[in-house]
Amino acid sequence: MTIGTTTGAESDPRQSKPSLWPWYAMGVAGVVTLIASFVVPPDAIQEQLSRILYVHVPAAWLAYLAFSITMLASAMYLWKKSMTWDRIAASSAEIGVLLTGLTLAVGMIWGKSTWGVWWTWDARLTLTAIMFFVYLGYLALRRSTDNLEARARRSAILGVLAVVQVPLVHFSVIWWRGLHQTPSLAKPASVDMDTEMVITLFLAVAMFTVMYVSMMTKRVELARLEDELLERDDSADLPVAGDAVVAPTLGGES
Amino acid sequence: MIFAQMPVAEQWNWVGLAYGVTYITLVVYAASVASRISKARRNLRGES
Amino acid sequence: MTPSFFSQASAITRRDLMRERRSGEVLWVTLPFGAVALLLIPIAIGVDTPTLKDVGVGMFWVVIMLFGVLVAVRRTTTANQAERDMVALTGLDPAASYVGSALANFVLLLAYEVVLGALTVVLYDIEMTGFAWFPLILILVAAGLALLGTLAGAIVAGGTGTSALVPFIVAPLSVPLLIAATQSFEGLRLGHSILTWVLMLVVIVLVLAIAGVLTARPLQETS
Repeated sequence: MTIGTTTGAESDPRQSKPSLWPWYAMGVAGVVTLIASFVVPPDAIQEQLSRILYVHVPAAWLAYLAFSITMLASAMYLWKKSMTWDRIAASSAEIGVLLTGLTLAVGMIWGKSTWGVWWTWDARLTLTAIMFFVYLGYLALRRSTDNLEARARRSAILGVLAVVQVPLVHFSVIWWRGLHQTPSLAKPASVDMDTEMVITLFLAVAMFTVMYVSMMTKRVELARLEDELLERDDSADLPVAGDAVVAPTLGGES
Repeated sequence: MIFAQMPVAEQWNWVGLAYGVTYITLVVYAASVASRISKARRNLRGES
Repeated sequence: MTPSFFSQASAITRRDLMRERRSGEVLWVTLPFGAVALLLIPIAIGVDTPTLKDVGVGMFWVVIMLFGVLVAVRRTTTANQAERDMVALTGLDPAASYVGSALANFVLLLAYEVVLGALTVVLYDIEMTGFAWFPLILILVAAGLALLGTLAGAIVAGGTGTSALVPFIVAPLSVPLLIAATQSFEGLRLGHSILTWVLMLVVIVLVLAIAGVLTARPLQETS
């Protein structure tokens, strides 16, 4: 399996066989999570609704992991200047945005079913929403440049800026919510969980991690292929219509 | 607490919604990555 | 034989929408920008839910007026002088071009309103009283703002103004739309008749459409 080539000759896409293990791994992870979260006994208080946690919590953890990878890979790109790091950063950001969106959506379903409201302004939710838009902006930035190197540099700098900003955002939002009375609603993590639930939760997180790694493998491969296409299109010497026109010169001789 | 009063059938609806949203999103995303990969490979093969 | 006004306009609409599909500017930039604005407001003014419920609809419409107009001046609609000269040389009816662009902007603005509207309902915990009237009001405001924004874009075109110039020009002129929109929703919430406000919206849309069509050729000749 290749996550992405580093320097030197790119592997010929005509000859490398597409690796299928990531798809199988994702499928297995999905099935295992599904079975585990429906086999585990329901929570005493929240009954069947507790099962929502087994997708909500792993999605949140993996989203934060994905963004951490983006931050790290951005710094690595600025240091090593290798395009592989750029692809890793971008792929992780895309998957991170997807998982954050999922966390928010499932979180809203959880909130509506257990507390009766789609949204509350507690620190964690607000932070997650802000992170979502920070990395959505990162993706929008990448779409705005076609030049591979410029795109990589700009995204990496934004990725590193996020590293600097996120702790500030984190603390300011938590402090802001601390100044007001926080709503006395049960938060998922503070639910009293018995051993079976904890095990299932950890299993779900492990499966989501498997899914993330598999997804990353394929997404970075896609990034490598698309970068090759961009490079090829850039460097192609296509004849242009203007070549047929010869500039007139003084004296009549061309 | 609201959920203590919710009938089990309705609870399953919410659980189904949560899992449906999760799995459909992930499957659709994986499928889009897969199709873009094969499209890119075809483009590269076809012209280079 | 020159193509009919309608086919010229629809060709322009199709072109604009296709450009947007390729660049994704509204989806990836303008829309998230409006969403972030809606997110920042409660952080600034406090999240006591009764307050948010009261201001939510008003905040939504302000965001639409200020940020939504960016849909009408996105990168894909601003053409440089050479492109504009080319289009003029083809003999394309400038009024048809205006109508076509405004129609494309209308579609995008309507989608914009729907997505941000859903977000507002969730974040500000809005009650959906009078829901049946929402589509009509959203459509009329989207049409009015699209006509206004496209016209402002045509007026500014070719000038050396900054990217904030068109939104700035549109903002005060959008006050009638803003008032009619907010008062309609307020009326729905209180259970009053909103017919006068809806009629006002219709009048605004008609006035803007006529103004845009009549000024299209003079504007083309000045640019």
